[in-house]
Amino acid sequence: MKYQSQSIAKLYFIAAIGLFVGQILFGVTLGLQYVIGDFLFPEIPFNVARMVHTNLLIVWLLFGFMGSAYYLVPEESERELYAPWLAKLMFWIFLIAGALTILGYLMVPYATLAEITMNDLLPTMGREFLEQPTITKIGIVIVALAFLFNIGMTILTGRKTVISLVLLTGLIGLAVFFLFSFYNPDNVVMDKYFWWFVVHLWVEGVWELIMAAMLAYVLIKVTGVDREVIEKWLYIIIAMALISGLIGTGHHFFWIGAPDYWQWLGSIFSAIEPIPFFMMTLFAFNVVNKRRRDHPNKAAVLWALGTAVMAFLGAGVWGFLHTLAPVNFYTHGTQITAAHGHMAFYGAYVMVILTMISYSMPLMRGKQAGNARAQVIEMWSFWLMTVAMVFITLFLTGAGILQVYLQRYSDTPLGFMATQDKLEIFYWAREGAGVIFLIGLFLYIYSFFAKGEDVVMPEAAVAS
Amino acid sequence: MMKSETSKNNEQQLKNASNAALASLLNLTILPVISFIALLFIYKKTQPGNIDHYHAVLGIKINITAALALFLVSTLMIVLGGFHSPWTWVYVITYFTIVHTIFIVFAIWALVRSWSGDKLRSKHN
Amino acid sequence: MNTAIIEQEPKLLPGDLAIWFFIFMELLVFGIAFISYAVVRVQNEDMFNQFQLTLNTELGAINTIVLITSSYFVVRAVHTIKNHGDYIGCSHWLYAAIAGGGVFLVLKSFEYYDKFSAGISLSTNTFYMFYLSLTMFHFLHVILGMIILLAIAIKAQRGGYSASNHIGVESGASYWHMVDLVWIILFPLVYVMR
Repeated sequence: MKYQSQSIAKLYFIAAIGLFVGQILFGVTLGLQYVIGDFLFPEIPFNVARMVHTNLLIVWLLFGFMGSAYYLVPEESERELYAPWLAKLMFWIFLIAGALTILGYLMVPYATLAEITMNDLLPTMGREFLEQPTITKIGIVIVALAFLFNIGMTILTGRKTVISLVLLTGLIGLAVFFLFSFYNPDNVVMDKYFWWFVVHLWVEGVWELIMAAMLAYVLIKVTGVDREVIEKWLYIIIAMALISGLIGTGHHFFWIGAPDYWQWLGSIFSAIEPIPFFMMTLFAFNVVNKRRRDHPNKAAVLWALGTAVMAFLGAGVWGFLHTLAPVNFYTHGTQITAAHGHMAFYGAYVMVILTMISYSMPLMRGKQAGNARAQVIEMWSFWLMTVAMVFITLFLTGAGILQVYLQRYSDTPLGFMATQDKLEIFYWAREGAGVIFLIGLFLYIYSFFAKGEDVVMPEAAVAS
Repeated sequence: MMKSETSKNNEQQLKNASNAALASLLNLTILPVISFIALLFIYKKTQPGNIDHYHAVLGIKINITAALALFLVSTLMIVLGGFHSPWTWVYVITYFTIVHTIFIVFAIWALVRSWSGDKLRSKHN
Repeated sequence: MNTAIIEQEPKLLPGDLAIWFFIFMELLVFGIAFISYAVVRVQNEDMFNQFQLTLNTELGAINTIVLITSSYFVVRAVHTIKNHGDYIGCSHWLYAAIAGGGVFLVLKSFEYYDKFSAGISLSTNTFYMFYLSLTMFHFLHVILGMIILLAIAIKAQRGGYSASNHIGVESGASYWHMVDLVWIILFPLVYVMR
C-alpha cells in the first residue's frame, strides 16, 4: 500500500463481506422455502426473503465497488484520496441507511414500510431489485455523488491512467442510470423500459467497465506486464461491451409490449454480448501467461483468472443460451433465467470484488500476500464457492429445461404449481450446493484470520 | 547469416502455431468445419518436433475429442433417452452447454500458449 | 535487460492484433444482421421489393464512391508514413479521408431527413426496420472510424509515427477499410438487389 488513504477500502470491504454473508444466509433460506413452502412463515415469507437476498447483493456489490475504487484510485493517481474524511462519513451513512432498509423489510410489512417512508410523495417502491424506500434511494444518490466527487477529484488532480478513467466512466454511468429508478410511469410498458434502463444498463453496460478496469488493475499488479499491453485490451473490451450491451437491452423488450423490431435488434446485439467476456478470458490468460514475475499472492491470481472464466461462463454462455427471441419465447421468466442470474452475478461481479479484496487486503495489513496457510484456505474457499455455484447453475438449468418442456412446450401443458412439484429434485440438489457455497464463504472469512508462515519469494521475483 | 535463417524459421513456426491454435478455437466457436479444414492445411505445413506441429496436433486432438464428446454423447443420450422425453433434453442441453464451454476455455489457453511459443505444460520462464 | 521476456504476438496482420479482434467482432455483428435480413427478405419478397424502390439509389451510389475514395486516401496515408516516414503528409491524407467520411454523413443525413419527414420509422414495416437499423448502425461506425482517424492524424501531425513505427496508422486504416467494406456489402444488399 503506497498511500495512507487507501486503507479506507478496508472498512468498505469488511462491510461488503458482512453483507455477503447475510445475502447467502437468506439465499439458503430461500432455497429451502422452494421445497418447504412454509419454512419460517410467517416471520420471513418467501417474497421478503427474496427481496432481502437481491437487495443485499446489490448493496454489498456497491460497497465492494466503492472500496475497490478507494483502493485503486489513489495508487493509479499517485496521490492521496481527495477527501478521506468524506469517504469515511459516506461509509457510515451508507451502512446505516442500508441496515435500516433491510431491517425495514424484515420488521414491518412492505406496504407499511412504504407508508412510513412516505412513498406516496414520490412513488418509487415496488419494483424488483429497486424495492428500496424512496428516502433510501435518495440516500444512495447522495452517497454516490459524494463518492464520485471524491474519486473524480483524486483522478483529475493526479495521474490519469486508462484504468482509472475507465473506472470513473463506469462509476458515473452507475450513478446516472440509477436516476431512472426515480421515474415510475403508470404505463406498464414504459415502466418496464425505465426499469430495464437501470437494471440492464448496470449489469450489461457500465458495471462491465468497472469490472474490466478492476481486473486490469489487479493483473498489472500481480503479473508486472506492461501497462500499454493491458490498456490496449481494455479499450477493445469496453468498446465491445458497450456496442453489444447498449442495444442488447432489446432482449428485455421482446414480450413487454414493445414494438416487434426489438426481437431483431435484441437478438442480434445480445448474440454478441458473450464476446467481450470471451475477450476478457483471452486477455486474462494471455497476461498471466506472459507474466514477468511470480507474485507471492497466488490466491489473487487464482481469483483473477477465475473471474475471467466464470464471467464468460455465467454472463456470456448462459446469457446466450436464452437470449435469442425464438428461444426466449419459451424460456423467459423460468429457472433458466435464475440459473443465468446466479452464475453471471457470481462470476462477473462477486468474483471481481473478491479478487480486489484478495489482492489488496494483505497489503492493507502490511504484507505482500497472506501467509501460506491462509492462501491455501482461501484457494479452498475459491474452489468450494465456485464449484458450488457451477452446480447451482447446472441444477437450475436442468429445472428450467424441464419447466419449459412441461409447462410451455408440451402439447398437454401442466399448470405452474404442478410443474414446480416435478422440479423438486432439482431444488433439493440446488439447496445442497447452496450449503456448500455457504461453507466456502465461511472458509473464505476464516482465511483472513489463519496464522502461518509468510510466503517468501525468490529475491528476483519480487519487484515492486 | 545462419542465425537470421533460424530466427526467420522460428518466426514462421510461431505464426503457424498461433494460426493452428486460432483455427482450433474458431472451429469450436463460430466457424465450425471450415476452420477444421484450415487446421488440417496448417498441419500439413508443419514438421514433427516443432512447436507449430505440436499446436496443430493439439488443435486436431481437441476438436476430435470435442466432436466425440459433444455430438456422439449427445446423440447417444437422445437415442437412449428418447426424443420426446423431457429428461433427455434436460441432460442434453445442460451437458452440451457446460462441456462445450470447457472445451472453448481449454482452446483459449492453448491459443495463449501458442502466442508465446510454449507447449501447454512446459514451464514458463 | 532480459529480451526473451518481452514477447510480441506474432505478426500476422497489418496493425495491432487487438484491432483485428475488434474488426472481427464488428464483421460478425454485421454478418449476423445481413443474414437475418436475407432470411426475412426471402420470406417477404414482394414487400421488400416494393419498398426498396423508395430508397434513393443515386445518393447511395455516390456515397459508395465517396467511401471508396476515402479508403484510398487512407491507403495513401499508410504508404506515405511507411515508405517515406513523412508524418505531415500522412496526417494530410488522413484529414482528407476524414473529410470523405464527413461528406458521407452529410449525404446520409439528407436521405434520413427525407425518410423521416415522410413519417417512416422503425415500426413502419420490417423492410424499413432493417433499412434504418442497418444503415444507422453503419452510420455510427463511420462516426467512430472518423474519431479513430482523427486521433491518429493528430498524433501523426505531432510526429508520433515514423517509417519504423506506424502500427497505429495501420490499425486505424484497417478499421476504416472495414467500415468501407461493410457499406460495400450493405449498399447492394439493401438498396439494389431485387
